[in-house]
Amino acid sequence: MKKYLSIMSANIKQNMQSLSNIIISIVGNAFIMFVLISLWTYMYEGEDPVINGYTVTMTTWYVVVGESIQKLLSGSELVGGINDDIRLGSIAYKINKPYFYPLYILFNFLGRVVSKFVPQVIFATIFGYLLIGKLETFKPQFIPFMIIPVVLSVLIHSFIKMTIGTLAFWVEDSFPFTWIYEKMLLVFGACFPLDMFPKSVQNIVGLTPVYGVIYGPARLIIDFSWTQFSQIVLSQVFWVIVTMLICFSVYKRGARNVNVNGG
Amino acid sequence: MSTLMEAKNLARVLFQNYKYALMASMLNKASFITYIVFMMLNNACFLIQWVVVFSIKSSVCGLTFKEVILVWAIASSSYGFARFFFTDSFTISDYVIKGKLDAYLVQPKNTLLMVATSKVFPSAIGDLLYGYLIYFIVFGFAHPVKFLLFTFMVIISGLGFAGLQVIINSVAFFIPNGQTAVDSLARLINCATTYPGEIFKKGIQIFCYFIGTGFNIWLPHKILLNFDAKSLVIYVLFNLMYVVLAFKIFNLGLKHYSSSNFMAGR
Repeated sequence: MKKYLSIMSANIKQNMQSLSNIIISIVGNAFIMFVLISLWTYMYEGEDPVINGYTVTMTTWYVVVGESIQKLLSGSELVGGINDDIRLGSIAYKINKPYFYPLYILFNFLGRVVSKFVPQVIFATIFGYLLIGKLETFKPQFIPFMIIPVVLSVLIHSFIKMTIGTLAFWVEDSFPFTWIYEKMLLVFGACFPLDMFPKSVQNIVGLTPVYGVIYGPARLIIDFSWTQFSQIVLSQVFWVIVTMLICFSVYKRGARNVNVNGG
Repeated sequence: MSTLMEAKNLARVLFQNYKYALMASMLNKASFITYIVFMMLNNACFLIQWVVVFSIKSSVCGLTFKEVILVWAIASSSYGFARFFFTDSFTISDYVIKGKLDAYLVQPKNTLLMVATSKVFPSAIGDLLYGYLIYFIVFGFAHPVKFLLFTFMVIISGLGFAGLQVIINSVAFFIPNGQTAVDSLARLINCATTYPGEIFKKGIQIFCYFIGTGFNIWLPHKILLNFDAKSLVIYVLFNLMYVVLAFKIFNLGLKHYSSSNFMAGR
């Protein structure tokens, strides 16, 4: 475990050296948030002040939080890194190193997430307050419990994306698969609260890992409740275990092929 | 006469560029088709967004569901056109930062055109086709003139879009390690392109016209719904202006370009 933490801290240090890049990239995301806020503000004009349990303030704050989580989860190392390692053959060297390759990639990614976390939270808070105002349903006393689903979300996302990345062992390029996954996150997470969808869609999405990646943590940050917390965290823990097992087994099967072919 | 010959020559070189780039990307046919199909599916995911919006509101800015998704048709097809025919206009910053332009500078043809057309991006075909699919869903097959107008707009907006990408990427000539700035600017230009302009407040609309989204996507959308010759002229002129500006700014940037020790052959 110590070596993986070293990998993570090395990545944090590396990212901190280009902090300005991180900040520019986070601020650059502001316009996307702004577009979605404009869409939702327009949607509430002349309609009920509460749509599916959400006021305009809650929905627009949800968009800010959802987009921020998505920004935290962005990064090319999970799919792009693995995909390139496999396609270009450098995986042959890396699988012989004294670490488990998926964990090496995971901790590298976690380093990136950690270095983005504080600037992203600061930016989202200021941006939200200036543009939307105070969120009445936000309960600051539960902040530590809001971080748990965010951490679990990062893990589920990492395992899913690494699984997609390792598909490059069999298909020449695994990028197209990640497009669909990312759009699912966007549609059923970042752009809309899941509660805006018909019940049948909510039930189906609720059974998938997508439920816990953006919607789950964003919902808890907007309006924390213990019932929701237990429901979301339970689902997340289940999906962390399942996606991790799938990821590791897919990788092991793929790596076996590399050994057979001599890298 | 010599200009005509030169243009003919350039067209022949570009044709060869596309031919070989397409052949290279089709080496693995399964991967090529996967890219196209998945890109169409990827775009189709956004339909869900508008289905939800229209389940809450009966119309958006006076537009029906079909009229709103027509924005997507223009955005997707013109993006696909630009991405397919001028693939590397989207990644010029990478050439600049890594000093990869050297291999193109020594060629006796226009550097920008040679860089932009050196590759093709298979998934762009998915974007291009998806836009046409939406077009047929909205207008059906009974409007040949509208179809020609749509195709004309795909080409003009595609050229304008490629021009805007070159302008943004040229920032890398002036800012050292400017990839993040380029990415942020590109995101800025792209993110409002799939929404009808009317949902935004006037100030934002003006800003979007200023950064190109308005003249590139919103104006053709309006023209397609209600034809207006004057708007069409303005639309064409602005998009061609982006192309001219792209060449000017790229050439200006070239004067600031210094390569690393990158070695490549073409």
